[in-house]
Amino acid sequence: MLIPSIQSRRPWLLALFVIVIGVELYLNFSFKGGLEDRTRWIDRFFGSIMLPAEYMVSQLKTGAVNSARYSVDLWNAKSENLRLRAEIQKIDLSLHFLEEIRLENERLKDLLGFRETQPLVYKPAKIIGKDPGLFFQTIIIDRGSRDGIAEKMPVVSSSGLVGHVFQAGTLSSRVLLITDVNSSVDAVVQRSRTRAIVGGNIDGSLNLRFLPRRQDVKIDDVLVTSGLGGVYPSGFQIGRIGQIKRNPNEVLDNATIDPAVDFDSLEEVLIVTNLVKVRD
Amino acid sequence: MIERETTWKLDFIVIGLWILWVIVMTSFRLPDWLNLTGVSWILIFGVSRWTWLQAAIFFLLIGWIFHSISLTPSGVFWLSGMIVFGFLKIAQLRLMIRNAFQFAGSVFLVSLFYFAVQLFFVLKIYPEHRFSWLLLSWAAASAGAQAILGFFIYAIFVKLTAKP
Repeated sequence: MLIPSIQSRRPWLLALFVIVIGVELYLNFSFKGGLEDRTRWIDRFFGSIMLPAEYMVSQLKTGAVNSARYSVDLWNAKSENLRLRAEIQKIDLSLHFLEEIRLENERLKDLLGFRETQPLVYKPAKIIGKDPGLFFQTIIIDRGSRDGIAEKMPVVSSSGLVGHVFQAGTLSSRVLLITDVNSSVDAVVQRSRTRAIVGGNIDGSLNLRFLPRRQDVKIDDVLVTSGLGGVYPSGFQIGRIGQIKRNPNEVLDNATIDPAVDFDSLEEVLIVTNLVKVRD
Repeated sequence: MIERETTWKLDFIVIGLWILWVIVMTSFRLPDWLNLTGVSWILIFGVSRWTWLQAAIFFLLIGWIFHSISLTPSGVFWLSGMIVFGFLKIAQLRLMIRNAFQFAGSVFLVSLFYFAVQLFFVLKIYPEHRFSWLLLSWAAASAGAQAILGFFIYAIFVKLTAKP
């Protein structure tokens, strides 16, 4: 009789609570499906309150930081301007050569009869939050369904693959990073075209899963997305193979991966917005 | 009746402030090894005020809320919290926090225990992953950081838990 007052007054209420807890624990410890399928109405309900709150706090924080930085930025603007002008000239020159290569590539594609692939459309977003849990890797971005963001949209950066949107709110969305324990990416070794699955770990590291033995995989090999698996487009860099653990008693090898993206210093990301529509 | 309503009001205010704290901490994007969610503060606050049923209800609520910005499963959050709460309830019969140092020490132990229990359940959900000492060192670092902050919030804790 831990709680006599409630037990005597409302036994049905206690029974209901026990059922809720039972269902909650059962769902948590037994679910084996994808992350999108795991989201329940209760998560969506609290998410619809918490994500806008997170967005508002980040806007306040950004406003305060920006006003503090403004005078310093103004002071540095002139020298920065001169440096950037020189940089633009260099980029212009390399663009000219790249344009030549692009045209040559198009001519060769025509000769070989390659089908034109759909160009990707990107939407930039700012990271406004990070998963407060110790064992999970997600971020919150300042773009939501209002900006045309939907679930399963791939998220990349200039360095490589970041993850995908798994919950889209009105003003902001949650992104599952490739380093999260729930994440898996169909990948291919750029040099040898060997296929493997890249998965995240509880400690936020990456490794190769289901890598058959005697495959042509070496340390420092670059891994890119294969385009298979239904979420990520092909060709985005995931990382480089750091260490290969070969066990003669096992059928599969294991390898650790150094991610291409530095997730700790990442501030902006790009969301690929036209793939989900194309698939639908 | 009026007294009971006031009690619940304070509980909800504290939980509201904790949620605000979590949102602010989330926006700071702290490194992976540093977790300043302060669940241990809520546990220590709750153990001095809540019955088992009240704790179970509050933890279910904050587990759901926490899950809306974290992938930490709400059931894991609830179960870990209730296990630590149970230990604290028993410890409360023999031990008492008398100063800020003891409070900081308690925060450290409670946080470390809480993260260790949570890690145990997370490994149960993802059995293909193995225990790593790195994760426990993160838990220790986070517990240490929460304890340092706890040293400074002791005064607030005393005011909140003071009997009228």
